[in-house]
Amino acid sequence: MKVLLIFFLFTHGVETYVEEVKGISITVQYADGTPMASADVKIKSPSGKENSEQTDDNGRIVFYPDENGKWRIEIDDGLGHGAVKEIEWSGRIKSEERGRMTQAQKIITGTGIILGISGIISYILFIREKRKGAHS
Amino acid sequence: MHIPEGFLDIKTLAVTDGIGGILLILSAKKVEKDISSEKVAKMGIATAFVFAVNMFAFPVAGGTSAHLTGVVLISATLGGWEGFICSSVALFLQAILFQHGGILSLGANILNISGWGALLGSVAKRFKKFQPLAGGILSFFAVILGSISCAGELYLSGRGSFLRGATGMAIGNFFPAVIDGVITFFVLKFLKKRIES
Repeated sequence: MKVLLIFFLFTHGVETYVEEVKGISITVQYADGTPMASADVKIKSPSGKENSEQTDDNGRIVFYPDENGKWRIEIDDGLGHGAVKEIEWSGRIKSEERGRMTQAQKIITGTGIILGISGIISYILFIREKRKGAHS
Repeated sequence: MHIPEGFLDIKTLAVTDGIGGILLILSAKKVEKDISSEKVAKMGIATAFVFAVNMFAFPVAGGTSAHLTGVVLISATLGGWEGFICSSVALFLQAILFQHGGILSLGANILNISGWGALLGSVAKRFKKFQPLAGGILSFFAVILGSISCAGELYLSGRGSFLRGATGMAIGNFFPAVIDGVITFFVLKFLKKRIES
């Protein structure tokens, strides 16, 4: 029995190797910070090879470039939202800082700009109307 | 439905940016005819509303996210040409400030979101008695038609099958379209009551 067990160990051997590798992690999220989970990802290497993946529940994809040059990563959630990233890989890249504005800050900034500009134009027109009314 | 930079090819960009630009010039000429300080103030508020509403995303099936548009609502209230300009300005600012949608693909995003919304909103404006109901229903269809035209632009750029893309996007945007319609209905009903009282 022992001989049989040893025989099967050699015929179905498993070998594992552990090593540290350099990879690229891309995290995708919507404007409000929600991760873009399960989005389709196309990874194109500098030599034209193409690979398809999906982002995980955290909107993240990790891949390990095996050649130097420009890598193109296209992310598509199938609802018209997505992103295209081009990364120049030469063994390392500079990590990008995440956006510091919260969703509320973005809304306040945008509506502030809009109301401000339209308010200025509206005021200029109001002055013109008042002058026209005064002269007529 | 904000197509990002790099998703559309040059010919699709040229056509959509061209049509979007022509419609913007036409809208400006139409609105300019009876421009006033009061109208500009109303359009500013409408633009801010569309901007804010576009920024709210909520989850749909499959871990993806969709958002409301509000274009039919503002077009039914102010007019189709006015609604088109307001929505397009909001889209432009989203692209410039927060890369929410591409700059080169702005024409496509304007056609998909502002175009359908302003067109159907101007139809809703013609209804006197049943405007809130018409606005609600047309708001729903504006989002669905926008999704389908978005899928069409992606297909023309060689990105997958049109039928699969259109079906997927229409289904994915179904829930936001319903919410858009419901909100449009209640706001138009409220405004109608205020005007009548």
